Formats: sequence, C-alpha cells, structure tokens
Amino acid sequence: MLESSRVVVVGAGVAGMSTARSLAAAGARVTLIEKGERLGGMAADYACKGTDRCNKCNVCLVHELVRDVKSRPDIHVMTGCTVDGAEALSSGGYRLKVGGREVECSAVVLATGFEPFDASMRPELGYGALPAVVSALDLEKALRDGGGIGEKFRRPIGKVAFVQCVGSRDLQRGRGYCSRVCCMYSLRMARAVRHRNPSIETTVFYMDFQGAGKDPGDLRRRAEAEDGVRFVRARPSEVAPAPDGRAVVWFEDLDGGICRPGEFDLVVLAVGTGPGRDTRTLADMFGLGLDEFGFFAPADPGDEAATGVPGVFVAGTCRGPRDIAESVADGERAALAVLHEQAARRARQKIALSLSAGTWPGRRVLRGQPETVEVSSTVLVLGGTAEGMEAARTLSDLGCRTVIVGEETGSDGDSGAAYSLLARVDEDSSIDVLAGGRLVRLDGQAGGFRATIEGPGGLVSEIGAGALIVATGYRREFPEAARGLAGRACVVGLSELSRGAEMLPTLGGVAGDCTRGVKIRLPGSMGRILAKRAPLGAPSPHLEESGVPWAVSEEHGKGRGGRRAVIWVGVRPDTARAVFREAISAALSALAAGWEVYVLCPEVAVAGPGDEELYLEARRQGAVFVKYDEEPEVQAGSALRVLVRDPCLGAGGAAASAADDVPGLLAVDADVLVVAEEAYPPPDSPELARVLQVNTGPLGFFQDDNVNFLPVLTNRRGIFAIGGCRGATAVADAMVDAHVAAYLAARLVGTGSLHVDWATARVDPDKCALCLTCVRTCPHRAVDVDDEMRAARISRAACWGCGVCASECPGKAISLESCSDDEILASVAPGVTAFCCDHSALIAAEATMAALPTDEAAGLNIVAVPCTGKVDIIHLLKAFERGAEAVMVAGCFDEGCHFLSGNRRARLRVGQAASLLKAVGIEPERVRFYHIGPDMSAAFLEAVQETMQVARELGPVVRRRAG
Amino acid sequence: MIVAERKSLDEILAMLQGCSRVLVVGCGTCVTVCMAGGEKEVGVLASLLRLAAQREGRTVEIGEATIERQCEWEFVDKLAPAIRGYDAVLSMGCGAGVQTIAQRFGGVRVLPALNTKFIGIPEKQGLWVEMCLGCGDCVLDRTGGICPIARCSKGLLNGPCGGSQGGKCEVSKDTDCAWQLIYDRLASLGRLDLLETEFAPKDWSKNRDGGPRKVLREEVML
Ligand code: SF4
Ligand code: SF4
Ligand code: SF4
Ligand code: SF4
Ligand code: SF4
Repeated sequence: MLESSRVVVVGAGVAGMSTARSLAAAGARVTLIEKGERLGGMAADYACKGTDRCNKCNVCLVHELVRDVKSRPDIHVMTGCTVDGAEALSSGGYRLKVGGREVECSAVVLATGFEPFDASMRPELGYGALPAVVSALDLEKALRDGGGIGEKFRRPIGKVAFVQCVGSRDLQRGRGYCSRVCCMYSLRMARAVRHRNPSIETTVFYMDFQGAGKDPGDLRRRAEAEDGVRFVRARPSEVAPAPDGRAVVWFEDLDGGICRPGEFDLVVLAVGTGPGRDTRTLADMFGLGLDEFGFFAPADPGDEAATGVPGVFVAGTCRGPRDIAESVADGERAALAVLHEQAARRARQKIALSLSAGTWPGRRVLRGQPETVEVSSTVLVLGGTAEGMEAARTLSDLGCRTVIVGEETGSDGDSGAAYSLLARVDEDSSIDVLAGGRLVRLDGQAGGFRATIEGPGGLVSEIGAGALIVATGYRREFPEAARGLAGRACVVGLSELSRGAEMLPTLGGVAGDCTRGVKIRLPGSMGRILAKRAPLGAPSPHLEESGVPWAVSEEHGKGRGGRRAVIWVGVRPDTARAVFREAISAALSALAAGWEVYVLCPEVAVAGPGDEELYLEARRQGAVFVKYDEEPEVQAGSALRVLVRDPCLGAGGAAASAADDVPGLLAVDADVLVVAEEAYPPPDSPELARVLQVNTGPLGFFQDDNVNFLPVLTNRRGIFAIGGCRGATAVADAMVDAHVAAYLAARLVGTGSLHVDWATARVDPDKCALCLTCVRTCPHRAVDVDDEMRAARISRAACWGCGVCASECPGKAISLESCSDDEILASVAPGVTAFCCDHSALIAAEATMAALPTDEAAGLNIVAVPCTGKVDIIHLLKAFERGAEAVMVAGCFDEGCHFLSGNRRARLRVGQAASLLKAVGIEPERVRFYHIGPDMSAAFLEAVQETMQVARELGPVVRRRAG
Repeated sequence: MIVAERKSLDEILAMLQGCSRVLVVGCGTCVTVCMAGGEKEVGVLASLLRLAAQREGRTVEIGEATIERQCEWEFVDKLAPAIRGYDAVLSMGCGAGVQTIAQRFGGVRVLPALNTKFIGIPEKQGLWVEMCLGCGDCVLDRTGGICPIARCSKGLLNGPCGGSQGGKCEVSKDTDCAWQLIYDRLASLGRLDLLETEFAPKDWSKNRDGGPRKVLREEVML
C-alpha cells in the first residue's frame, strides 16, 4: 500500500529511528529527517552501565538501532535539516519544506525528543560555576569514553554525590512532573562508577525512588549491599565551593531537621527531561496541542498518543519523559498508528492486506536463502485481561482472526471504556472467545503452532495459530507485612476498592461503633467488569472520571468530619509504579467525600504522566503522606489503629498524635485501612511457562530480564508477553504492550505467508545422531525432532540464527547459513584474531578501528559472528593452528545477549579452550573473553591492546627447536 | 547408551609417543550422543594434537574421520582407504569400537582415546549417570524399575544397608541411596509387598561366568 506513499519521520533519536525501522519493515518508504549531523539523538552519548553483568540501562539498543537504520536502503536519512514549513495536501498528506527542498509524504511522525534541563537555571547548585559540579550527561560521556572518571574530570575523585530531581518535580520552574528516568540512571551510574573504581564512595540524594524495570528493588538492594551506594532522602538546597575544587552539598538531615554539609569531589546533577526546543514551532506548524509543560499533548484523553490531526503522529520523549525501551516501543506503536490510518484512508481496508508478506526482524541480520512459508494468520490470546482484549481488538483491525482463551468475557450492565472494549470484543466476528479454557499443550513453531485447549468439563480442542499472545495478567495479594489483615473488618484491598466490589466495611473507628456502615462503592470501573472474568491485570485508567468512589451515606456526609482512612502502599517499587496512581485517586475520592486521609508508603511513586500533579493535589487537599523506613504496625482490635514512624518528625519532633515515648511515632486511629496489594504472577504461571517453553524472569513473571526482548518479546518467536504477566504494569503501559504485540504478531503472520530471508541453522539429517543437544540448548526453542527423518529439525520461521546449536552439536550436523565453519575459518589468520558479536563488539570495533595504529591494525584480524555463541571451540583451536598468537572473543554482557545464552556458552568454551591449551603446554591466557557493549569502543580498544600485548609477550605458539 | 569420557591429554600424548602420522576416528552413535567421541570431539582432539606437536617443533600429520558406528564391520570398512599410511589410529569410540577397528586392520596400532565408563543416561545436559551394569539377569521387575546392582554402591540385593541416611548413600552425600529410591517408588506404586520376599543370592553365572558373553539368535542369522 505504501509503495507510492512516503512517511516522513522527524527526529532520528530513539523513537524516530524505531518508528522508521518499524515502518520500513512493514514495507513503507521512509524519510528520516535529523537536525543534527548524526543519528541517535541524545542517547547516542550515553554509556553502557554494565558492571559484571548487564544493568539494563538499554543504551546498547540505541547503537544497534543506528546501525539498523543505516543499513536499510528503504530508509532515506537526511541529516542536518529541519522541517521549515508544511502544507496540507488534498490527498491527506503533506508537502514539507526540508532544508530548501520539498518532500511530499502521506504522513508525518514527529519524534523530536527532549531537551535536558539546563542546570545553570538553578544557580544555587553551582553548575557552570563550580568545577566539581557536573550534569548526569557529562558523566554519561565520561563513562562512555572509558578510562577513569578522575582523568576525565582532571581531578582526584574519592567521593561522588548524585543529586536527584534537578529540573524535575519542581513547581517553581514550571516543571511539576517526574522525569521518570533519572532515579534509575543515577543508580546505574553509581554502580558503574563504583565498579570501575571501587575506592570511590557514591551517595545518592533523592526524594522518592522511582523504580523501573523488572525488579528495581533488587537492583537498588544490590547497589546498596554490593556496591555500597548510599541513599539519602533529601533534596539538597545548595552546593557551595570547598577547598581544592571540591564542593559542599547542603542537605536537610531528617533526624533533627537541620541542614548539614557533605563534602564531595564530584557532584552529579540528575537533570530532568524537558520539552524539545522545536516542539512549539512544530505544534504551531501542524496545529497540535501542547500540555502545560510544553510536551505534545494527546487530543483524546482515552488515546494517549493521538494528536487529533490526521496524518500527524507523535512518538517518544517529545510527548513526555520515557526511557529508551519505552521510546523504542512508542516508535513501534506510532508506526502501527500510521499504518492504521493509511489503511483506513484507503477504502477501509484491513492493514494486513497491504503488507506484502509477513516480515520479521527490523534488525539487521545475516541473510539466508529466501523462502516463503505458509503460516496461520490466527492469533491465540491467552487471558481475558484488558490488555488481552485490546490486543485482540487491534489484531482484528489488522486483519487477523483471534481466539481469546481465558475466563468468560461478556458485558453486564456497567458503563465506561471497559464496557465498550468488551462490547467490541463481543461484537467482533473475527474474535472468538473460548471461555474457561486452559492451554495444556503446545506443539509446532512460529507460524504453525497447534494449541491444545482444555475447556470446562474436560472438553479438549485443538487450535492452529500462527502466533500467541500471553496476557494472563498479574495476581494482587496483600503484601507480606499486611497478610494477616486480609479479610478483617474495616480493611480493604486497594484493587477491590477500585474494582467497585460492593463493600460494607463496618466503620467503628475509635468508638467501636461498628454497626453504622458506610457503603464504599466505585461505580463505572473497568476493573469491575473484567474482575469477574480474569485475574485482573491492572486497575482502571478511568478511575478519576468515573465519579466518586467514596460515596458516603447520608448521616456521614461531607463535613461531618471524623472519618479517617489510611491508605497503605507498602509494595515493591515496580508495583508502586503501577498502582500508586490508583492509591492517590482513592485518596482524592475520599478527601472529596470529606474524609481525612493518611497515605503510608516507603516512596511516593509518581513517574507516570500526570501523577505528580495528582499527588500534589492530594497533598493540597490535606492528605498526609508518611514516607516510612520501617513497616507500619496495625493494631486491629475492636478499633483500628495504625502505628508508623515518620522519619520527618525527627528525634525531637512531637506531633499532636505522636504516641508516647517513641520519637516520631504516629498513631492513626482509622475507620478504614486500604491496603495496596502486591503484584505476583498468577499461580499457574510456572505451568503455563513450561507448556509454552517460554522463560520467566525475576519474581517469576514472564519474559527474560534482557533489554533486547523489551517490550513484548519472549525467547520464542511468535510468542509475545504483554501487560501484567510480564510484571506489574500500569494500564497505559499495558495498552502500549497490547498494540505493539498485536502489530508484531500481524507483521509476522498477518498475511498468511511469511517471507523468511534471514539466515537460519540447518540440520544435516544424515549426520544427526539425535542426541537432542540442539533441542536442549537452543535458547529460542526452535528445534523439534522430525519423527519421519529421525533427525533434529530446525524451524526456519522460529530460528533466530544465533548459531549456538551449530557450535554445540557433537556430530557437527548443523551449519548456519552465511556463517559456516569454513566461512569462519577462512577469515582466521596469523596475528591476533578477535571474534566479535555482530550486535555488540562488532559495532564497537567499527568505531574503533580508525583509532588503532596501522601496524597494530595489520596484526588484528576481526571475525564477525552473529553471536559469540556461534564461536565453536574448534574455531578457537584452529585459529592457533593457523598461526594466531592470541584469540579474543568479545560479546554482550551477561543478561544482555541478544540470544540469551550465547555469550555464556561462548565464555564456557573459552574457558574450556584455555584449559585444553594448557594441557598441551600452551599458555591459557592466549585465549580471552571480553564483555563489550556496542557503544564501548574505548573498552574494545583496550581489550584489543591487552590481547596484542599478550601476543607480543608470548610470541608465536610454534616453538622452533633450538639450533 | 554407552557413556565414555576422553582420556587426559597427557595420557593420549604418551601413548602416541613416536607416532607422527595419526588418524583420529570418531563414532557417530553412542559417543556422539554422550559428547565424547563424535565429529566435533575428533576435531578438537586432532587440533590439540597438532598444536602440541607445533609447540614442540615436531611435524605430524593428524587425519580426521568419523564413521557411523565403529562397532560394525561395514562402517569400519569405510576407513580402509583413509587408514593407509598412518602409524596409528586413535579411536574415539567405546572399547568395542577400538577393538573392531583393531581386528579389521591388522597392520596398524589402534589406540583408545576414551575411557568407556558405563551404560547410562544424561540426567540432564552435561551430566551422565550410570543405570545398568549389564548383569545378564535383570531384576528391575521386583525393584520398581530401579537397578540395585548398578545404582546401589554395594550392589546389594536386599538393601538398604545401615549406611542409608536421609535418602543418601554413605559412600557419598551426592549419591542417592538406591534402596531408598526403590522403597519410595514401590510405596507409591502400592507394592511394598515386593520387599517382603527376600532376594536369593544373585546368579552371577549369567554375568561373567564362562568368559565373554554372547547373544545368539539363529532366526536372524544369514
Ligand atoms: S549491555 Fe546494554 S542494557 Fe546492559 S548495561 Fe550495557 S548498554 Fe545497558
Ligand atoms: S545436536 Fe546435532 S546430533 Fe544432536 S540432535 Fe542436534 S543435530 Fe542431531
Ligand atoms: S540455537 Fe540459534 S541457530 Fe540454532 S536453531 Fe536455535 S535459534 Fe536457530
Ligand atoms: S539388574 Fe542387571 S540388567 Fe537390570 S538394570 Fe541392573 S545391571 Fe542392568
Ligand atoms: S546406602 Fe543405599 S546405595 Fe549406598 S550402599 Fe547402602 S543400600 Fe546401597
């Protein structure tokens, strides 16, 4: 469809590149316009923050995106230009003025990124004035360039402070929002600094920890325990000069409430994310709205990304802070929206009709023998959660038939968005629902799965599906510390409250007057409808709009006072990110009904769009937030009393209700205690993971903890995990997951045929001994046993082309297209051989080679492999046979491997090679393994020089006989 | 399957002393599956032998070949053209394979590169465990499918012995007590009654009595 229509993407940062790559993969012709001279945007300057293992900073994704975009002929890149004018065409597209030229297009995607906060706007922090004060971006660059940070900043560094929220959560400067990413980047930088120089002490001054990712609580615990990163809850008021170019950070000590100084050699300001400079101009040009902070604003509150102007789309940080992985996902989402609109424009076709044949990776891959395979365009959605239904609905728009397997879906008498979602699922003839079904077995591979579903009463049916989307949601349960309270009178779960379960908590309060009930009701919540059918993934996004949940009966109406609610949000940081908004909404509703509200939590999680405003509003209306260090104690006798120590009350601080003797201890007599539930994977997750052969990650949620799989990929091609099943997820994020997964599934199988042109591994059945090694070691589960051939069989659609199996097969029966053993060995020569992973070290190598002196470069022999897992032990040994003096293997960080375990296998082989060499009298240090991220050209250079040094010192392997 | 393990390189190098032309021969069946002597291991060993020689400044010729099964005349025959000119054949087959090649090619030294260990299974990828001793008189019908001969450290027929502690064998904490396993399994099958009949002393005549054993089946003979 898009042959004749070009899409212009403005901005070659992460979101822009992701949009372009995704559109191109769907067959569109794309022009990518970049103001700067290079691709990658701000993130191109960031550093990999891997320590011994990947710390999930996502930076490597950027460098790979750059390479992917550059290597696609269907993306036309124009650097050094801006969009200077736009004229709407009658066809619905635009004629843009770009650097003196005119470009016609059918759609424009604005992905113009953000502008970091200019720290000199807060002169009291000394940025620009004190040599010791730098911004986080400065530190990113220093880390990226390698070497010690002391050299970089030209001063001895022993103590480093990170100051959070510089230009974020700052009402005075019109920046009343959380920048969402700084806590995690500071945490990771602190670890990286410590890792590179263990003698450096790091301290993070922060307000609230905004954890993101799979298990941020664990990352923080490890930073504190293993790396000694110190967290101090304070918002420094001033950074002053100190002798020797050092700086003094003045911060308020919570114990005692006095201001204290701390001296540091380096003070890193965690500058926040602000709207890009071009945002206003572009908004005017295209008639778009901006929010109060200057980011592109959604035209329709229900559809966060819609601009309201046909043909114009926005993606990435230009519409609000988000991290790298979220920007990649947002790009995918924007690409989908473009395709969607274009299909609708053309006689309401389904999008899939326009895709020529399914295509897969947008990423650069090795090319193999092209082949078109028939696939099933049916997609199976497991779980009747909101995200599952949204995925099904989107897939239906994309022309795929879907089958939802899960609890019964249907509509029953409520209103709101959920109702319409359900109704649309109900009405849609291309969506079938298998109510009460359970997946008990899965055969086949991507494009041709066969799912055995057991229905109620043991009825078994088999469904053929090209792809599967797992949307089983998460289970919410009282957190450990509050477990004993479940089911008690006057104690209610936050999600139940949000779901609008009819509840009559007896509100005795202090007087033990438990008979007069107040009915707590939450009308119109999406949660309510869904709750009946499935383990609910997430709360309603429409909570605020849906009315007053804390309806109070006549006799306890507003203004009577005395009704007091405690909302306790004692959950992990990842759960807090997903549910805090729900808690604040509940607080606001209670306040509106005249209640007194206490919110108890370790951190206030306000990283979502609009959350900070909501939080401030709750405070303005009188909600008391207590950020505790120790879990509160609940005394639930005839009356409900919650004891909590508020560190802000300090040692001497005596509050009106402070309990006797214990400093800072608050005793709140509550009428109702609302407990925010912790998120856990549903109980049948392990079994489902086993049936699907899909890996689970931290806390038992679906999906590996590996940035290359974000947002929705699993280890198996054609199986996607979305929303709550891959971790506690806020509703808006779950919906993005649903859209991205639907789009990817449609791109894979939506047309009924899949064009496989990537390199895959193949088995020579004559040589296969059916040892099952490949079946067991393939990280992507792409190998089955071919019963007829009595040999292993690799599915071309499912194979990711890592070559792990080829290097593990004891019968040498497997070879990887375009990367056979002969091809690899042909490029091995005397000198130093470096086997480089195409996704990481090779990208770093490409940027480094120029820096290598010519004589050294001549002795270096780089062999590209799709994954270090493709490096066979035989390759390592043969390299020495052919005259190599030292051999290095360089690949991704642990947990950062694109093929999950390839680098681990390679490292084991390097270890094995070393011990075998030793056994025949050859120095084991001649063979080495390095972790090199794609941006780590400096580290790559160091690794090469170290290996060359070894080669020089040890000389040739061949020892000529004396004389 | 037969499970084997490569000998140490020192031992292999010592036995090859004085040989400058060596053909390393793999087997495509059991020892491929147990990752001790398939085509890949042949490549690794051959490479190491060359490197060892290079290191010492010797010139050697190390050939590589892998056949379907070293314990079948027809497959072993296929080595005939390749074997010419070599001082020695280093077999990466099990003991049966080494002997078959030796018997077929009288004029050449045939050396074992592996230690043949046992009949067993991969408990998981990379870990093989012994399951059967080939005793010639299987008792699994009475022991819940768990072999006391191979898996009890003492080969007891009326176990367990007094050394069974917490399910582990006294010989090593890493070894399950076979008799505990037998007991548990029979209990879950509801067949503990099988333990009430004592095992008579085992008839070892079916094992090694009378020299090497044979299985003869006239109906399949030519
Ligand atoms: S490997 Fe990638 S995600 Fe991991 S720490 Fe490095 S750049 Fe970050
Ligand atoms: S690893 Fe090789 S020999 Fe083993 S099953 Fe796979 S292809 Fe066959
Ligand atoms: S191990 Fe890698 S190359 Fe082999 S089948 Fe699996 S995905 Fe394909
Ligand atoms: S009883 Fe004998 S034949 Fe049976 S499994 Fe044990 S050793 Fe093998
Ligand atoms: S402890 Fe168990 S396995 Fe070990 S010798 Fe005794 S009976 Fe056999």
